[in-house]
Amino acid sequence: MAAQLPRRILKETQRLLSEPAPGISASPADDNARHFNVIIFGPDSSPYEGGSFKLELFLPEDYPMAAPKVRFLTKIYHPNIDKLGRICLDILKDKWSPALQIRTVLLSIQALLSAPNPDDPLAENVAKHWKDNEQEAVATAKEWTRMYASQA
Amino acid sequence: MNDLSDGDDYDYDDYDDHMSEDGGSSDGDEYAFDSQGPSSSRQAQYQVFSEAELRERQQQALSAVTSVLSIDENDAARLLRKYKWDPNQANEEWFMNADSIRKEVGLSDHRAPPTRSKTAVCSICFDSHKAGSMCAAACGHLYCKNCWRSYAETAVNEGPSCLDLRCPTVGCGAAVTQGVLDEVLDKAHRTKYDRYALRSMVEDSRRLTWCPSPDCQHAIENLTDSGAVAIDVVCKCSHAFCFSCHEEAHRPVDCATVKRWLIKNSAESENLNWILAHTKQCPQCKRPIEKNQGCMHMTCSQCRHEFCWLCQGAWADHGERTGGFYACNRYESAQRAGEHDEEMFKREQARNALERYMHYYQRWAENDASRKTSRKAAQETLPEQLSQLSEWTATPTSQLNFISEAWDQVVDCRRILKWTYTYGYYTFGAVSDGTGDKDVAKDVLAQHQEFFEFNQGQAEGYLEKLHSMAEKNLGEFRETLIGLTDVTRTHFRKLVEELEKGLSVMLNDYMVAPASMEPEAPAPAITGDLKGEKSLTKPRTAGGKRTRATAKTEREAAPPAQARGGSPRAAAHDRARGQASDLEAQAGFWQCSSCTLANHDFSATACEVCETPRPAH
Repeated sequence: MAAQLPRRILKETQRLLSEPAPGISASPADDNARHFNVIIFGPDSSPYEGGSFKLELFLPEDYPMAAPKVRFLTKIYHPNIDKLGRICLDILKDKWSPALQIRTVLLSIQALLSAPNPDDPLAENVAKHWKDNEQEAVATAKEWTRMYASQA
Repeated sequence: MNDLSDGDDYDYDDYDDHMSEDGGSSDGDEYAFDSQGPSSSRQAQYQVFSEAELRERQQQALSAVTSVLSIDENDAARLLRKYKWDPNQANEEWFMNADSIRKEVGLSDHRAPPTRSKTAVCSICFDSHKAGSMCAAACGHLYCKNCWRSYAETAVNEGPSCLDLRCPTVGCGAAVTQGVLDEVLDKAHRTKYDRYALRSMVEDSRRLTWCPSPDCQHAIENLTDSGAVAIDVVCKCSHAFCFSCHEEAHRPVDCATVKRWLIKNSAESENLNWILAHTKQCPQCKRPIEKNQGCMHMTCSQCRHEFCWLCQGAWADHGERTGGFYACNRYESAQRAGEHDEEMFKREQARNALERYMHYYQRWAENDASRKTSRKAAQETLPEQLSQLSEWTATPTSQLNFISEAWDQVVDCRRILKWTYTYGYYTFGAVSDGTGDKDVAKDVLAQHQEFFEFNQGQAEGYLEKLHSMAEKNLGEFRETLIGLTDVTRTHFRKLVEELEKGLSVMLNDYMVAPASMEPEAPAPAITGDLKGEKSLTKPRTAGGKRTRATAKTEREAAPPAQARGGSPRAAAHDRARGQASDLEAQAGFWQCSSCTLANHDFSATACEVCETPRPAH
């Protein structure tokens, strides 16, 4: 990590700090400028409303040619996020483009919270729950949000 | 295999028709004939391409599209990849629905207006550059060359998906043009990209496949109608393989059977069978024990338990009152009562199945080994021997080609013969253990088996003769060897074709053909045939046995012509003679009894070469 930080990462960091996206806060860790502590607030009128979800985001050596690595730290009941916090999102995998940024990635994750996609599941049992009985699944998601994601 | 010569194939192909009417060889004009290939390759329904030829072919496909559609080669390549490298389909679809295809493949036809400003910010590195030093795909989204380079190189390093590289702008999807790639990729990456492009043609197309031999760069095109049927192909590197399953060439056995057989050969199941067949478990610790010598008093080497091998009871119970130490009354009485029957039966069955498998496997493996050594001999020592021979006998090497042809034939036949054992193993399982084809009645199957073994035996006989002859490797055997190569090739080719048609058809042809083909055939031959027919329709009786005996006579009597002449003797001999004339007619030649040359002129009274008179009919 002794290598100088690419200008792109510096600029992205500055912009994230100076003009944060609504409902998202991201700041680099003190000891590693490639490691970001992220908080995404549960979008309104979603089962996650009122929750604040912690994530970690890491920019690999070949960023921006390779996608950043993102993971939920807070437990969340969501068909596209598994119990280890890994996220099933196309732009984090094969649809990554170097023209995307940290900000766009985080906005996409926020959108994923608003619109869970049980047809492309990562957590099979959650997705099944979602498809069989959406109302009940949403209730569980709300319950989890209240239990794990709401620090006063 | 590349020199396409229509119709200029083996001369015996002409006689082919009375044997195979279904036209397993539906050789239309477009089919090239494999004029050198050994017998197993069906008349070349395939073509071998070297890398250069592949490039040429790719270029042709590209031109076929670029000339019609006025798009550049890079775009044409994307379009062709979408349509599995079929230029006709690509062109047609494009005319039907150009707009949606353009969108899907990423070829937009409207170009962005050039940027007016002198500098622009690259949205990958966030630096501003002179607009002139930046590149864009047809969409006009500018990025700096450094970022383009890392973008393209990352994609190339990731694999063949780089062939579908799109503009990095989110939601744009425009294909990256040849111009940009040429500009930014260094030579190593460019070469890699081109290799992927070439590979994509072979890998996308159903009709093309790579030769699976290590380090071989050739590709094979399947020219049959459906394009992907299982045919045996021989690559220029001399590796013979099945187009469909990529295993070694395996006619007349089908791909699924080969897979089963190979799994069986490698699997543990036969070990277990052996254990079941040859061991009993220690009654106490249940470890399997093989009794290889000694008396019935067993002591388990593991748990020291002492027991009787026969009744498996504790040895302590044995002694004078059980009939002495060397006999076991309990066993005898239990056996009389039928107590041991089930276990015995199971063990017996396992042993039979194992023996049966070993029978086929040994022959399969022996032929395989023999094929490998012959192949080695043909490739390594033969060229040297040939040049020596050519010096000694003052014969040009080109005239000695027949020797290497004979060797190639040996190699090829060994492979076919090998697979006929697999065929036999799976086809006739029901006769011995009821595992084979359930659709065929048992007696019919037994009849088929006899007939199959007869044919296999004959083929094997020819091959052994050819093999031993070829090993002598002397110039004066020229005619013999050429004739024998021809006979063996024909025989194996027919064996394969007939087996693929099915044994019932084969048996029918075999019994009907002589009457229709040789109306002038003498009375003994016909009675011989009638007898043969009788004996064949009454299998599993003395008649069946006789057929097999005849098979032996026939095998020994090869060349068949020798069986002719002489006074009528036993019925079996009549039958042999009948078969000889049938075989001649079917094979399309008669073989000289002295030099074994295959004579094609049936009206001739003497051998074409050595002039030995042909034995009377």
